[in-house]
Amino acid sequence: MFLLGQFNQRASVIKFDKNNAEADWKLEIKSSTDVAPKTEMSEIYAYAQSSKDYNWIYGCGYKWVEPLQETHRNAVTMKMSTDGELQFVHVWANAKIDSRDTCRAAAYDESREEIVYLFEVTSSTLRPNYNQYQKASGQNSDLLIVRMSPGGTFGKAVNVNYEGAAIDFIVGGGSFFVADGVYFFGSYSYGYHTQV
Amino acid sequence: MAGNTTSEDYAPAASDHAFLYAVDLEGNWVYGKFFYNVSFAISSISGCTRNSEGSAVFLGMGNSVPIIMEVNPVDGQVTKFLSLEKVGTTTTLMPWYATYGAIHHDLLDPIDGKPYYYASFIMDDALILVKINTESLEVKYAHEYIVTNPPSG
Repeated sequence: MFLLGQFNQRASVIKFDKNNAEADWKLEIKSSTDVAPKTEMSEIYAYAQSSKDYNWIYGCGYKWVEPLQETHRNAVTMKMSTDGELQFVHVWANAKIDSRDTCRAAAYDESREEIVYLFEVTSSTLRPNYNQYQKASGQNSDLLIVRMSPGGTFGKAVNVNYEGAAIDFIVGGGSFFVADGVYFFGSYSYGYHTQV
Repeated sequence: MAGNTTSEDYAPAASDHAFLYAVDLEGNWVYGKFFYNVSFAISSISGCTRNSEGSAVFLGMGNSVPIIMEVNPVDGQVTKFLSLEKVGTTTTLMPWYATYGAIHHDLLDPIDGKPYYYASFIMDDALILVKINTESLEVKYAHEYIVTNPPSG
């Protein structure tokens, strides 16, 4: 049994024995150059596995750019084995520090044999046509759908946004699955009101 | 889908109310429920999973303690409900809790063949892992994990 999330201020994965709760191993993702609480991944929000190959876990979440302030985020995607060995960590870094990018959900698309990630993004580098609507909604988050091969090669990506409307696109954590090649996910928008 | 709303448009008041709803794969509404935060005190649902028989199991908060709720996904009827409380809790001495998505329902344990809930949450800055028999509601174990050393590089 695996528990994915955050421990000790870092993204972590713990493997437990279901029978007695003894920890077999614990993985914490650290920074290779900086001391804690700096890390290449602060928290894991979601994961995906292939039903044909349980040896790999594809996770995603975020890292705090400045962990002591906890204001700006970069989205992070990663792959690890169920033996606890990290294969890669990809930080979707942005030159501008003021991003709130976060990967909220992941699913395995069995029909295409690829992993699909759902991001909330505010970085201009992850938002095509950003200059057209940055004045009105530059601070609001868009949805970014990213497809990745099991080997870690990123394929097609699609951005969904409200253009000039100052509305956040928020993805529901753990609310994403793929059926027959169709994506289903839960989300909500923040910034407008319904009339009752 | 399940979560938390503070909107008066969807719940009776602008305070924390848990909700759950179902739509089919065409997007058609099937049913929806909110949980009133006084008489049926569930304020949020953070974890949602389905067991091997298709029943939906939720982890959330009610009356400021973790709750586990089993629901028939066809009509949304609650079939099982339990709340967790630390031994020795009083009205004035009560730990704080936070739940996330860590809930799993195993219908057939490989050792004793019994069904169990596995859940994890935060209690007073510690990570808690519990295993509960879903028939007798006996807590098989409740382990606490804490950071014993400050983070280091």
